[in-house]
Amino acid sequence: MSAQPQPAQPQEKQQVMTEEDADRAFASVIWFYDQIAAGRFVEYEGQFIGICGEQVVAAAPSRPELYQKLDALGDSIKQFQVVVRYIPSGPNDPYFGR
Amino acid sequence: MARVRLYLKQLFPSHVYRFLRPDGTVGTIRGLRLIAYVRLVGLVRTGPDGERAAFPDCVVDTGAYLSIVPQDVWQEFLPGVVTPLPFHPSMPAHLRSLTIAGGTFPYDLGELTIPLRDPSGSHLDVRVVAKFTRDGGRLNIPLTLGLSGGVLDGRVLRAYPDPATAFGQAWVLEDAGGP
Repeated sequence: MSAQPQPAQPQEKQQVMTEEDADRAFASVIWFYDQIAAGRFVEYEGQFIGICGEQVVAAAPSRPELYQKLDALGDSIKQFQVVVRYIPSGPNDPYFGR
Repeated sequence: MARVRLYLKQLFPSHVYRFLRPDGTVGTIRGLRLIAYVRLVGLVRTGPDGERAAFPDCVVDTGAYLSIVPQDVWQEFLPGVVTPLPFHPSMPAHLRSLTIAGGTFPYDLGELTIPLRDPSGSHLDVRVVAKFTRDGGRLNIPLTLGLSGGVLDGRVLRAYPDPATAFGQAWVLEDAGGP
């Protein structure tokens, strides 16, 4: 008797950051500081960016707008590995410039 | 003995103060910030929105009276992470708000444990009394670690020359060891 093909089970949506996600997100933070110190991200000055791995995957002028863009990317990125950073507009930006 | 490395970072390569000394030589000072790595996994709400706040920027500000947790960080905390500390009735009104970054913001005091990590895997949990600003997300500053309120209780913040480290200084926050 041949085995009956099983209907594909819908994949359960990830609900929680795993240890692996956290480690990768932390690696992205380390990468971010190396990059910004090297003068990268000037095109994002004054914006919030979402980083996944070693890539900026979205940017927006506010955190809520960034979250909308990240959400819209859906499963095309590892949502639980994304870290968010603000790119100050320059040394006098109050974010880091106090 | 628990210890964690902190890091001097020049966040803008162009952030350099240049000046002329009386002998005509040019002096330069880089605009550096002292950065701590923070890992709030397990303290923030599960789901992408909450966990996007799990690795906030964190600067060590030796001039800050107390640590400051901006609303866009604390609003993602799970219930129970922060122990609210209501103001004593004798607390003057002018000390119940924080003027920073061009604005004045009310805040609440609370106590929490901030897990510090460093890229080598070392970690140090610091229990601090901090200001939790009620800013509706308008106050855009990093999590700021002041030295009072618990950061230095039983600990030492020290720097020492280290040619192998960026800017020639290694910074460490560590438990104070006995003799």
